[in-house]
Amino acid sequence: MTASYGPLLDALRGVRWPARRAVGAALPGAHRSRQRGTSGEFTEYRLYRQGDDPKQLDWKLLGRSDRAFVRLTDDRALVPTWFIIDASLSMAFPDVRSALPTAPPNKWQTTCALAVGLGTVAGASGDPVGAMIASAEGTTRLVARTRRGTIGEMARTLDALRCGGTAELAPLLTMTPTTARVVVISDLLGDLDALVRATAQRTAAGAIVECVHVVAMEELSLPSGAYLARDPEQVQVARVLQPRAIAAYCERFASFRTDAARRWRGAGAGYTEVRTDAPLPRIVRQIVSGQSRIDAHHAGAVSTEPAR
Amino acid sequence: MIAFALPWLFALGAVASLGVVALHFLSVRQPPELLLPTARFLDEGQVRAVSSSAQPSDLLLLMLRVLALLLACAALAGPRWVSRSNSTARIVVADVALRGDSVALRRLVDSTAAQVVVRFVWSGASGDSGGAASDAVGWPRGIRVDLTAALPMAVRAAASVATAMPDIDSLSLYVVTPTPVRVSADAWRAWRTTWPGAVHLRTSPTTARDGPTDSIGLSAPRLRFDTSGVDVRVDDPVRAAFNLPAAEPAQSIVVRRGEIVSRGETSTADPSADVTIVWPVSGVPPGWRPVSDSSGAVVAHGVALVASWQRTAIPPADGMRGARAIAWWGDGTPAALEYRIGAQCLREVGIAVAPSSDLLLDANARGVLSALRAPCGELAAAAATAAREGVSARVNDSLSASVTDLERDPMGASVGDAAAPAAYFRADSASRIGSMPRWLTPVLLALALLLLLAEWFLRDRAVVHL
Repeated sequence: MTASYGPLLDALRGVRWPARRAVGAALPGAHRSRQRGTSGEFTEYRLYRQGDDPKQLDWKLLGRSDRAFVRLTDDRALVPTWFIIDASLSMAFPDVRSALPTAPPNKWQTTCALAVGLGTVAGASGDPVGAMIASAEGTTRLVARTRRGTIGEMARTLDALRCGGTAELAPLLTMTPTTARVVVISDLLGDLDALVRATAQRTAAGAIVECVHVVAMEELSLPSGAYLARDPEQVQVARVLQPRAIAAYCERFASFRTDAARRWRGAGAGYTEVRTDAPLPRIVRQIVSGQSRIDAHHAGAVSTEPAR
Repeated sequence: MIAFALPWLFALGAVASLGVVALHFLSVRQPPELLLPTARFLDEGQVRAVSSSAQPSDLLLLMLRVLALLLACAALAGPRWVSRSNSTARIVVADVALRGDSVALRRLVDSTAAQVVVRFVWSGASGDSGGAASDAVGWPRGIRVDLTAALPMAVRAAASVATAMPDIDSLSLYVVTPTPVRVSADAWRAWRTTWPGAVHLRTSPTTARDGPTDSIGLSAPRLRFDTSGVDVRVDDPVRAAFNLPAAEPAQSIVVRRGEIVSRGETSTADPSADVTIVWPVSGVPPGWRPVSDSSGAVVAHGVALVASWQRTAIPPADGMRGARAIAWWGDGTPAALEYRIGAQCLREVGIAVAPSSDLLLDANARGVLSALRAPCGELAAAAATAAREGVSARVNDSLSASVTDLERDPMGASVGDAAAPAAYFRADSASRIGSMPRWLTPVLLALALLLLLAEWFLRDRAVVHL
């Protein structure tokens, strides 16, 4: 694993990432399952109701008290955690080659750190962790595993990968299991509409989807002066950036982020906006704890619970 | 050092360069590119934007553009490479009496000149004004009679020398005459204005001994002008024509330029002159009939002076009695008449010559002048058979002037010892736009093109990376 992730992983030691809701049937794990009665871990008694399986009756208790109680148990299951990572050219912004050493990380560096941090937290719960990375070179797929070294392999893969081209994340989302927890890390400047539709389908099927929207500080605070701004992924998109146009830009960009958050929540997914200058351990804790909202200016992130 | 035939064009290029510099600060241009993934949230609009800055950018491009513009304008302005040697050529006009000792003449000039001699130009006779650094090919005879004759020759020689030697900056004129100096002050002042520098007068005491035999003595001139009653300018063309070097007239001549109303008040012929020429400024002698038409030529003494003449008078039919035509218009009408009055004769000339005209200085004007200079009653060449012993002793009062007065510019310009600028005599060549040397214009244009190509290659197309 890359040494640069050391401080982040140290800060995340002991953090767990419980599933927000009961998961479907799976191998025994740390998360509460929707299945009941199959495990030996007793939880409580409940009066027998017509229709209950007679096998669940506590016959001993019935014999002693002449009351029919059903023995309830909670199953614990694993939640495979899949990372769908956007490695398009826009994620390489700002260019690290021209950045100062003291400059905050760019979107791709932030994405890598978030993926490693969240993957580590997920792996600490014994959940298998896998990843699908969309870039100009195609899709890099890391099969979800629980064995040691999975996170290190993912970190090395992310570090070796170079952003480029355009990436479509929606097809990757449909490839994830419906019982999995899917974390989409992207700047949402690609196939947002298709991604939201696929998210709605996956959440309806039972999947847990988290969206981590990475926003560069340089996108929020544009430079002064006159420039011809060009989209690196769509070179035909060229607009004039002037000081008097910044206000309208900020308004549109904020509206875009607000609309994206609303749409993700509406699709049953969680939405967290992460700025590149935000402290990543704190961001990871917010994501895994499911805090509904954190002051964006101080924490650098806005978290939302999935729409109920 | 480079001079320009069209300096205003180069100045125009300099002004345009200032405009280029100003546009460099205030130009409306496409700003540098900025890769921004969220560019879609910017307003759609004109891709070009005003980019003005107090700090100049792209100084290399600015320098290339300005240099290219200046070089192109310099190439089109007729550049001329002028030597900075401050060289001066000398034009020496010496009397024929000094021909025998050119070494002594050169020593006479050199001993009095402080400047460094770069060229030593001898001036020859009229029609062959000498070349650069060549020996004298002719010697004017008229200098000894009237010093004014040296100046037209010097002007022609200066024009020739200045054109032949473009690296010459100035011209010094030395007029060397045998003593004593005789000069018609009016004629001298008239011609002196044509030489824009100092005229160095030198006299050679050895002239009489070394000079060739010359039958013309240093007597009073036989030609004088009477301008009473009329405001004749100093550049009177008739006076200038009669002052040209020519054979000494055999008889004394008086030229009346004043307006005479009737022939009775002409005082007839001047009793002190053998020939009295009445040539009014208006071209209408007394008794002649004024007309207003034109003629293509004046014929006299077998030579036609072709020009667009404005005829102002023709002789009356009754006035022709006892007269003899000595010059005719192209249509046969007399243009000059001669009346015999005893041993003298009166000649009336009905030819109007515009002030400052050089028609009478033309070579073909010698026919008219010879006819007017001819002895009474005959039109033969005056100088060939004239008895030189009969030279009149009458001396015009104006024929005395000191050397200092003569060297001074009569127009008031303080020339001191300054040589005449050679560019003054290059008026014709200056009007040409071509460069000197000829390859200078193509070279400058090629340099300008190269600079423009370099500017094209170096144009900033850099993308700004954040």
